[in-house]
Parts: sequence; structure tokens; C-alpha cells
Amino acid sequence: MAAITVSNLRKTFQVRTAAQGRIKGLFNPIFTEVEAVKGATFSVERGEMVAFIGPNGAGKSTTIKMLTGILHPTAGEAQVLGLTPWVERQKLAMKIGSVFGQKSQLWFHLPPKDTFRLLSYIYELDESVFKARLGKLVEVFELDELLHIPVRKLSLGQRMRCEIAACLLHKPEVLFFDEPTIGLDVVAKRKIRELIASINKEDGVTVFLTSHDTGDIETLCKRVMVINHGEVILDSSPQLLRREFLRMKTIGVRLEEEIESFIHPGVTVLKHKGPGLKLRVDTAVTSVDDVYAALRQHSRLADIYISDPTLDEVIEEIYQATGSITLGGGGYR
Amino acid sequence: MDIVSTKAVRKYSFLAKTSFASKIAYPLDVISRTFFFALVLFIFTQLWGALLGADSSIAGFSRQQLVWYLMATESIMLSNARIERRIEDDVKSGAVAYILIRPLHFVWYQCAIYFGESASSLIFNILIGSIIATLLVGVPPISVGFLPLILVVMTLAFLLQFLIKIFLALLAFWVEDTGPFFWIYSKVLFTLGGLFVPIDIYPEWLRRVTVAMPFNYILYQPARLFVNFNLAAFVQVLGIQAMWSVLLTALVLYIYKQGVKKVSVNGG
Amino acid sequence: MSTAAKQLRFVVEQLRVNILSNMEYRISFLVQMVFMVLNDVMLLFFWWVIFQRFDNIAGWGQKDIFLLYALSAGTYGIAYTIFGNALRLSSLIVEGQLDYYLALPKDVWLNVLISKSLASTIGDFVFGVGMCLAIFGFSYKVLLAIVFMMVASLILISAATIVHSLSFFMGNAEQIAAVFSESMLSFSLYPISVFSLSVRALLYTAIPAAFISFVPVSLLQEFSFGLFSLFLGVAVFGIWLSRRVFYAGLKRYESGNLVAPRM
Repeated sequence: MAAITVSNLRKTFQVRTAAQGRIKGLFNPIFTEVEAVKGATFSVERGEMVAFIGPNGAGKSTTIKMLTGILHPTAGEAQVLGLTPWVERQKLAMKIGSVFGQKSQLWFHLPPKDTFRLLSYIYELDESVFKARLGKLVEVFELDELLHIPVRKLSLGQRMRCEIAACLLHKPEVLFFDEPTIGLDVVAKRKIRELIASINKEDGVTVFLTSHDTGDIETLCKRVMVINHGEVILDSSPQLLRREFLRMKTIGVRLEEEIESFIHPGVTVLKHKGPGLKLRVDTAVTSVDDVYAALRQHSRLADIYISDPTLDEVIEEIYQATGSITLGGGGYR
Repeated sequence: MDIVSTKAVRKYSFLAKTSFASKIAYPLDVISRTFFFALVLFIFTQLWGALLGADSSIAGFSRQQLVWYLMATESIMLSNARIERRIEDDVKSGAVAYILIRPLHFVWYQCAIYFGESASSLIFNILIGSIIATLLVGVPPISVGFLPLILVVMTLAFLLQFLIKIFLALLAFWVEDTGPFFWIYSKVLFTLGGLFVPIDIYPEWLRRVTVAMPFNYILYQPARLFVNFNLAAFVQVLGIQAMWSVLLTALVLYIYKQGVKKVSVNGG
Repeated sequence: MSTAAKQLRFVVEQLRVNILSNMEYRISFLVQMVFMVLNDVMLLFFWWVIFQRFDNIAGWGQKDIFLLYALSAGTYGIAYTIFGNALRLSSLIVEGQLDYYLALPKDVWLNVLISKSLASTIGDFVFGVGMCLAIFGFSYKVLLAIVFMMVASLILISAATIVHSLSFFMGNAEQIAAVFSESMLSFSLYPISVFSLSVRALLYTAIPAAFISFVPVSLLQEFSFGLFSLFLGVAVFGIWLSRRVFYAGLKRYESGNLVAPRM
């Protein structure tokens, strides 16, 4: 059964052209239409864990905002748990949870337990239900010691654990995470990822997350959607993504002797300056080993490094492959 | 909008309780707020001392009543929580949206926070104010039995304050900076609200203008009832306060709806 | 003398940049200015109402009170148009935001204070000067009043920075500074003669609000060299003391390791 279905969802913003004079612009504003999301169509099954990736301005946040009922779409349809978000927002609010990495829901000056208690009233939980649920969350999230410390004194990682626990109190069926690991250190990141995975597994909660961090996506999700302007341009698994698009490697070398040029099938020279070379290697066409051997024919190597492309490079690759041109834009959050 | 149920009431009253607790988390803040209140009360009583000179009363207010009147108006004026900056920021940054994801109504959410925070100041201000007033002119000219009724009028006074403030703050959906509106609003309260002077001493035409507006129901009327209770006046004040509350609530909900529509259409 | 001239040029240039950057938001700037004038006018209205009923307050007539308002508004206007950062000095210290200024080859005390202008305060200054014109007409007294406002603004700023500098020594003094600023403002808006002698003594010393409005008004009403010398002396002493406290504190400055809290 589908938890989320979206078809042809569109959103255009009217943006006032800032270049006009302030006074003139006040009385006679000129608007430009910007398409943040143009015709998104996809569906997410119950219990699935899906990552939504794309650069800033790709329409991630706008899509999430429409799915949570914050924004009205310009056209198109969407159903979350059988409800149309922007029509039945309050009803839907009871069934979904959300964590926005850069926006805290915890009361800064108070210990987390006060926020939990408040949320139990906001979500109209019965006392016994609340107690049982909190007990479980405290156990799973190891919040025992954190519960009574004012939030301002918690570390970012500890706070994030509390944030996630807070959004789970009312047993939501669908969770929206917007950049849940932003700003965390490696250990805290791993902890948060384990927790999200366990929520998904044990309670069968549908998880919809956006992230900039490839690690989040690779460890957590079986499904990745790459979007641009809210259009899903790739819907695949991280493994496939890796196979298809992470097959590119970047090789940087410094030769002992300078060479005129380097030509090899499947290799693009990104930078060539004196003895230094930066190459992109398509491992579907050639292998790293072949490239290494070809280089060695010219000269001994003084230094070499091989790296995976960054997520941004992968996305760029995907954009190029799918013929989608513009990257980024405004960032309509 | 929420259906008024016990659960909804519990929800918002607990929210008020939480913001109360959050507000008194820093004792130094509480002390400095209360100190400022005491300072203003002191200055105003001194000013009145100079104004009265040798007279023992003015416009039906004795010296003692005047001091307690000031205590009451100042308590309401200086206890009311400064939610405007936060609401404006929420509106501007689009954080309004994050509240929309919860089963809460933005206006009543802010209202609960406003009452919680205001109560946290009011308690201390009334305590210190009463001590100062008692030291200056003796115990208040009122019987304890009327206090619950005064409290009702005071509560409505705070509600009116809230509605006017959130109305002004919501204008941030359309204008760049609502700060200046609040400077003017505080001066309007100062004069038309009767913060320092009971409006009875105003020239007749001005008094009439004042009574026709909601501001004197925030400061003057509750304070007058406090120092000089009268059941008929109480009923009348309560009725007019209720009328203004209904009118302003409708206005606020309407303007909020328009504003949110703007966010929904144009993004945060 | 040439260093003084350089400092002055620096101040003027910084002021120009500050005002220009405020002007970027032209509508907001104009609205703030106009509303601030309106705000001040409403207070006059209040006093007008009072004087419909009373002849004087502790010997002060309507004209005296209006002059008092003109001078305190003008003083606040000058003070925070030029030294706009004085209002948030303690949070700059606590959040470790002085680093930027410490890296520049300028007097830190001066540089920090003048790096911001509040748009609204220009409205106060306009109101203050406008009122003086209304009271005195085109008289030398208007110029004299402006000079007094300048001197008083130095006293105001030095008192404020001393209190804000407590943040160097005792952690966060923001609250104390806020209470102090509000006390200064409140006391400078009313004639000092309504207060008892002990309070008056306080207003010449710990909370020097008397110098913001009462002293300059007295000087305008009846000039005396003695009082004027005292007035000037307090300004010079204030700046000297303020700089001493600030620089003593700066030695204990802990730079920016404090993460701005999310409120």
C-alpha cells in the first residue's frame, strides 16, 4: 500500500524582481514566475525508506512542504496516508512527524522532558500511552541522563537524539527528515543513522529524508530519488546509483617528467599544469589499473591519489546524462 | 480551527505553563524585569506627588487610590510579553510553517505563549508593586472579595493586548518592519490607555474619544475597578471588553488567513 | 592635533557609510524616522493633556518640559546615530565578536562604538532640533542646544559603555546594562526636581541622567560658566573612565569561542 502518492505536482512562485527601484517597486511591482517544482510524480510504499537528493534549489524543501501541508501546490495532486495534505493539514499532522535539522522544536531553556510532556498534550495522547511510549523512546535513544538537562546545555548530537525522539512520541506513520545529520560529528552521525534505521525497521515507519550527506543515503536507504526542479530525474537504489554513476573516479598525479598531453580512452583531462594532471576516469570504459600503466609508460610517478566523485559531482553527472541543464537556482526554502 | 474540547484546552494551557517555566528559567532576567517595573512605578508615584502638591485628591481619585491605580496599570503594561519581535521573525523567516505542521493553530499557539510569559512577569510585578504601594500609602482600598472579578477583567485586558499586538505583528506578512507600529502603539497605551493619568482628568472631548476606543479597556478600566469597585461598572466593562475581543479576534483570524494564503502561494 | 583630525575624519566616514547602508532599505529607513518623530510627538501630546489640568509640575511649565524632551531626544539621537553599537556592546563582548575590531589598526573603543547607526534615532535628532527651533525660533540658542546635545551624548555613551564593559569582568552583563539604559532613559524624561534629594544625588552620579536633560535645560534657561564647566568636565571624565574600564577589560577578553545560542 502506498504511503505517499504524488502526481504531476507543480509549484510556481511569484518573485518580485529586485532590480527595480525600491520606491517604484513598491507601487508597481513586477513579478517573475519561478517554477520550483514542475510536475513531480512518484509514490512511496508504506515502510519504505526513501532519500530525496538534489542540490539547493532543486525543489526538495518545497516538495516536503507541500507533502506536509504547509504549501499549496499550483497544480497536481498528492496523497499522504490517504489524505490531501493542504486540505486536511491538521488531521494529517496527527499522523506524521518531522525533523528539520536546522530548526529546533525543543524549548531551549527547559529540559527535554518538558517539551515531551507538552507534545503529549499537543498530540492529545492519553497519559498511559504517553508514559509507555516515552519509556520506550528513552530506552532506545538512551535519553535517561539527558531528560533533565536544559536543552541549552546539550551537545548537538544529544539534542538531535532528543529532537528525533520528540517527533516519534505520537507514533507517526510517516516521518519527514530534512538534513537530520547536518553539523554532527562522525560518531553522532552514526548513532543517528542507527536510530533512524531502527525506527524504520521495528515500527515499520515510512521515512522520507533529504540529505546532502552521501553517507546518510548509502547506509540508510534502499531507494534514492534525484530531483531537479522537483522533477524526479532518477529513481534508483544507492547500489545502482553507485554502479551507474559512481563509476567515475578522479585520479590526480604528479609525474617526474612533464608530458605534452595524455590521451586514453575513457579518460577526460580535467587539469594539466606542468607535471601535474587531474583526470576523470570512466571505469566502465577503462580501469584505474590501465590508466596507471599508461601513465607509467610516460614517466615515473612522484605522487598519486584516487578518489570517488563527491555527491554533487554525481548529481551533476546525472543531470548531464538526463539532459537536464540548469543546476541550482534560488533555494526556495 | 480546533474544536473546543478538553483536549484542546489542555493543549494550550500546558503550552502556557511551559512558556511560563521557560521564562523564569533565568532568575537574573526575572529580577531585572521586576526591578525596571519598580523603577517606573517609583518615578510615576514621585511625579504624581509633584502634580498633586497640596491637594488630597483629583477627579475623584485620592492620593492612595492614585498610587494603587499606577500599580495596576503599570503591572498590566510592563508584564505583557514582548511576543511581537518573535512573531515578526517567524513570519519573515517562514518559521510560521513549522508550527503549521503540528496540530496547533498559529494564533492560539502564540496566545498561549503570550499568557504564559505575561503571567511569569505579572506575578512578580504585582508582588513588588504591592509592597511598594503599601509602603508608600498603605494597604489597597479594596475588599478581597472583588479580586476574582478584577482578575477576570485583567485577563480580558491581556487578551485585548494580545490581539492588538498579534494584529500588528502579522502585518509583517506585508510590510518590511513592524517595529515602528509598536512604538506608536505603546505611546497610544500611554495616553489613550490611561497608563499614567486616569482618563477622567482629560478634557471632555478627549475623554469621549478615548472611551470609544479599546485601549482604555486594557489599562484604565481594570485599574479603576481595582481601586474603586462598582458592580454596574464591572458588568459594563466586561461587556465592552468581550465585544472588542470578539471583533479583534475576527480581525486577527481574517488577517492571519490572508497572510498564510500569501505564504502558501508565494513560499516562505 | 593631526591625529585628532584623522580620528574625526574616521568617525565622519564611518557615519557616512552607516547611514548609506541604512538607506539601502529606503522605505524602512523613512518609516522608522517618521514614526520615531510621531512617537516623540505623542509624548508631547501627553504632556499637553497634563498641562490642560495643571499649571506646573514641581515648578516646571509646559515649555520647560517640552525643552527637556527636545534635549533628551536630541541627545539620544546623536548618541545612537554615531555610537549605535553602544547598545549591544555587552553581547559583542560575550559572543566574542570583538575579534574583527581587534584586527584593525584603529582605536578599538572608538571603532567598536561607531560601527553601527540606528536608523530610528535620526528621527529623534530631527525631532529634538525641530522642537528647539519651535521653542527658540532662529536663535543662537538652537546652536547652543545642539552643542549641549553633543556633550550630553558623550556622557550617555561613556556611562553606557562602562556598564556594558562589566561583561569583561563578570560574564554576561547584558541584563544589567539593559536595566541601566532603561533607567537612564526613564529618568532623563522627567524634571529632576520631582525627586527627593537622595534620588537627585543618584542622578548626578551612579545614573547620571541629570546631565542628559536637566543640566543642559538649565544651561539654556540661564547660562552659567560654573555649571557649563562641570558639564564639560563630566563628559571628559566620562570618556576617560569609559576608555580605562574598556581597555582594562579588553585584557581579559576571551575571543570568539562561544557558539551563538539558538533561541
